[in-house]
Amino acid sequence: MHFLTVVFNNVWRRRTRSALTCIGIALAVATAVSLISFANGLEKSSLEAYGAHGIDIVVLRSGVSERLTSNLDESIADRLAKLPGVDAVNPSLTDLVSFGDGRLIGIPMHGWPTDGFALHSLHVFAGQHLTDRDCAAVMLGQSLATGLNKQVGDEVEIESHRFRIVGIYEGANLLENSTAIMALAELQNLMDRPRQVTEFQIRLNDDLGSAHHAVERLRPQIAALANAQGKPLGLVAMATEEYVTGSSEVRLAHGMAIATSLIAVLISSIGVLNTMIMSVLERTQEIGALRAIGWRKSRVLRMILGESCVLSAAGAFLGMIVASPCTILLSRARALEGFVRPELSASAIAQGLLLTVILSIAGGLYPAYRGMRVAPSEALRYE
Amino acid sequence: MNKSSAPPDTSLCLLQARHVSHVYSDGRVLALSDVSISIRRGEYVAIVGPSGSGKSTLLNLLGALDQPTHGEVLFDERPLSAIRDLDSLRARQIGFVFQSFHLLPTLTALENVQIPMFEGPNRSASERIRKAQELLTTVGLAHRVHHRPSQMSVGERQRTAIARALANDPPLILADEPTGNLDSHSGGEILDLFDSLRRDRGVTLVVITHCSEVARRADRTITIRDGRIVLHNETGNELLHPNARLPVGLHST
Repeated sequence: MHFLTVVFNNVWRRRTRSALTCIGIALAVATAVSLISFANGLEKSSLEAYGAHGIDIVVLRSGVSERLTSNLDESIADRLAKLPGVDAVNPSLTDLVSFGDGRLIGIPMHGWPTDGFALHSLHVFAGQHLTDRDCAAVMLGQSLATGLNKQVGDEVEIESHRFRIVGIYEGANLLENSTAIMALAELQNLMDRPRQVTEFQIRLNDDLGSAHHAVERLRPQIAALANAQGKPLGLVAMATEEYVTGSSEVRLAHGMAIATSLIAVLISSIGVLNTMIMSVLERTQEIGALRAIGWRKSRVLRMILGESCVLSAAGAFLGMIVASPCTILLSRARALEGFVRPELSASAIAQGLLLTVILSIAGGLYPAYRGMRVAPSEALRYE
Repeated sequence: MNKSSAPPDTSLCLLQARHVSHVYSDGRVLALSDVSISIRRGEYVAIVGPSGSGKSTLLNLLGALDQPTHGEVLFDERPLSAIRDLDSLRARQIGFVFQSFHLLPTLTALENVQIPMFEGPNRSASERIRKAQELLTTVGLAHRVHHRPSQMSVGERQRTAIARALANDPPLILADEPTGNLDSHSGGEILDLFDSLRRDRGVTLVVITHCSEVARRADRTITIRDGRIVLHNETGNELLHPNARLPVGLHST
């Protein structure tokens, strides 16, 4: 007989209690994996979107924590375009707008130049790209158009102004499919932000080799740009990946996922703790007898921690199985549908497993300590 | 009656208690007061006395489960207070038999007997199984090795517990009311088993009991009352007489 046989048998002894604890752990792990998958999905979607447009560097005002509050003069684009290695610059204004009579709010709207590389990298499958000749015109992402039940040629009300839909595009991901685009000047007028942009998107020359090195080379040059009086413009340049990873949306999503996961883990740990402490209290005499026949404290500790690990591992295994359908179901929830595609990656699973380890240790440590402290003479005294 | 026909070497003391007193941690109960006993190798000693007299406390002290408040317990002439690893001493030198058996309910007899072997001499899994099978055969349970305690009679459970106590071949067996939960037939079987263990293995037996039959089979009977030794019979023979007056705390079976 192996020592683990004792551990497994002890867990199996109270089947219903062990099963309920496992289900609790499984739900915690599935929740953690799903939320982390959503955060990863958001990050990946954002990266895909920037990558699909060929954006290598994003320039925005230094020190801003939220890109929508970045406020730059669009004329800086000309100076950025003259920097060595820069192929093209796309000034971009992004703001949140409301559609219809306020039924749909907080929709990201991009204002892009009609001749910019970002606009023309979009795949328009209905209608056409915006042109200089278009007035009061807008392009909608596929999901947004479907949600609004609009087609090319229809009109939509945006911030109480009417716009004609000239094209419907298929974005790089679900996130981009839920956005809208209009000409930069038109959005500046609409949002009363004349000549303002939130960021500059830079495409580098193809012959530069490593984008990372190119960014490192350009970063000080961009930071050193100054106005006519020699005052720095306060710009910061970031590689796309750095920009996306550091964006407040992605950080918030990751933060929320971790925070919610930790709460789920805490609740599950209390479940494991409760199960294990009951188990130890029920077996005080038995543990006393094991100590009497020579089991060391460390063996009792290993036995109880082992039981906690078996429970957590079984729960984690179940949680991993449940995580995938759970993630799919959550992505179909009304609030999330069409917004972001969850990314059930190895890292999400690894983080779920890490939480399981925390669960096992947190939930089993105190009961194991209690079990280890059982004095055989005391335990057997009331035989 | 049933005394060992070839008594083992009794020249050396295996276990000694010297002026042992014990006060429980709450400080109010004086469980033992100035108790001194010596137990020779291969001896069979019964400790009798009424409930609460201090028998189990003495057994706990002799079995290194507790430390005396005063005095000293010596195992093989070594003071227990000087032995650093008492867990190892209990695992390898002492076998415990409890009134309530304390078998693990989810394990088979074969598995239960292997429990002390985790802390015993280094044995492979197959050696542990072979040893457990051998011990279960010794106690007459060769046909019950794969049964769980719930599938066995109380007598069989106690025999399994005795096999477990022998797992690491200890020279000393401490038994606390080993027949207390058994009927007279099963109790008799256990006592016969004890006799054969002394005869064949030369183990030293210290048994706490309320049962006169257990005491009658012992080499010596120590009677404890209110934490003190009040009677020390060097032989149990006088208890064999049907009209013998039983020491306090004993009842006939």
